[in-house]
Amino acid sequence: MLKAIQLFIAFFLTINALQAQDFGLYWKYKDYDGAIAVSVPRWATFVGASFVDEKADRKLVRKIRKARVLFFEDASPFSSRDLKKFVRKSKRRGLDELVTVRSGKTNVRILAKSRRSTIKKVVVLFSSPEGSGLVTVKGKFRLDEINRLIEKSQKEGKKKDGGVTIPKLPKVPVIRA
Amino acid sequence: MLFLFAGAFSASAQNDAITRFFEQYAEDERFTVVYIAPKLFQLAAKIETDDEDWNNIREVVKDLGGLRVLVADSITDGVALYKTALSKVPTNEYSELLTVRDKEEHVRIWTKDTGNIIEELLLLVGKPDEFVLLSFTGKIDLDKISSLAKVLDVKGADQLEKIKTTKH
Repeated sequence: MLKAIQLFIAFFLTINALQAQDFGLYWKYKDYDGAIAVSVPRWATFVGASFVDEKADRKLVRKIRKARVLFFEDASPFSSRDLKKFVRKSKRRGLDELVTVRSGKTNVRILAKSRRSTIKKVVVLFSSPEGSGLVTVKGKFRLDEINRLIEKSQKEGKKKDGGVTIPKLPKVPVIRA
Repeated sequence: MLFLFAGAFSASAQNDAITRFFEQYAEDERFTVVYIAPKLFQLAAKIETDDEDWNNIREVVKDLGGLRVLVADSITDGVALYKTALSKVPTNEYSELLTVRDKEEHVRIWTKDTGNIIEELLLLVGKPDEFVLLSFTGKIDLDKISSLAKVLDVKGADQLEKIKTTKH
């Protein structure tokens, strides 16, 4: 009996840990019509990192423990009830809201979980006329590493045409969820 | 009991006239709305970099509690909006720090303080085609807040430079 209880607790904790990354949104909507759901496991980031030229970037990619992308070409199917539930659960699990921006029909919301000067999880919710979705990245990133990446992408963007553009991301092998 | 306190706190925050003004236009597509949470400022203050500008404002950023921005730059009723926002500012709570009127441009900055500590800075800009409402909360150093204008890529933030000019 004791073993059965232990097994149940272990199962319950595993299920919770698996769903904790995006608090159910990914799992609920990944099979919706028109959804593009991509899950990048740790081994894939390790393999993908070897294709990155710069050593510092390679190191950063290797730090990704798991990444998930859920993309819809049409308007966001996330219901306001689910989004409220997401915010409630994320607060409870230590995910802090960092930035919220709305410009015209584009909405971006960035949340992160941090400890001292490391970021352990980043969740980005976005919706615009071109598409909507969710990106979650789990890992252990130092703030100065992220800052270096932002500075680098700004410089690269400025070099091209004077304005800031987002540089192309390295190709990483993925598995479809 | 804890939920009761939390509910009461959020209710009092929502009663704030400026907050209500932000909320009124939060979904209006003519406006751009930005909210930067205190956590981001806390994290940003921990970043080690060689950037001289950034190192100068690290101390200011560390104590900032949050930033809310409401901007519209292709409107026709900027001055009318400015006047509406102006009427919402509770003048008994805020003290006026700066007023500029240059042709059709109106700029006002208020502060809310307890003792020697400035807890909130409110910036309001109105032009016929532009409107900016910017609110900083936290522990604000007036001598250094103007340096934020350099790093903040937000329309209207350049008006913060005027604080320094006025003080000297």
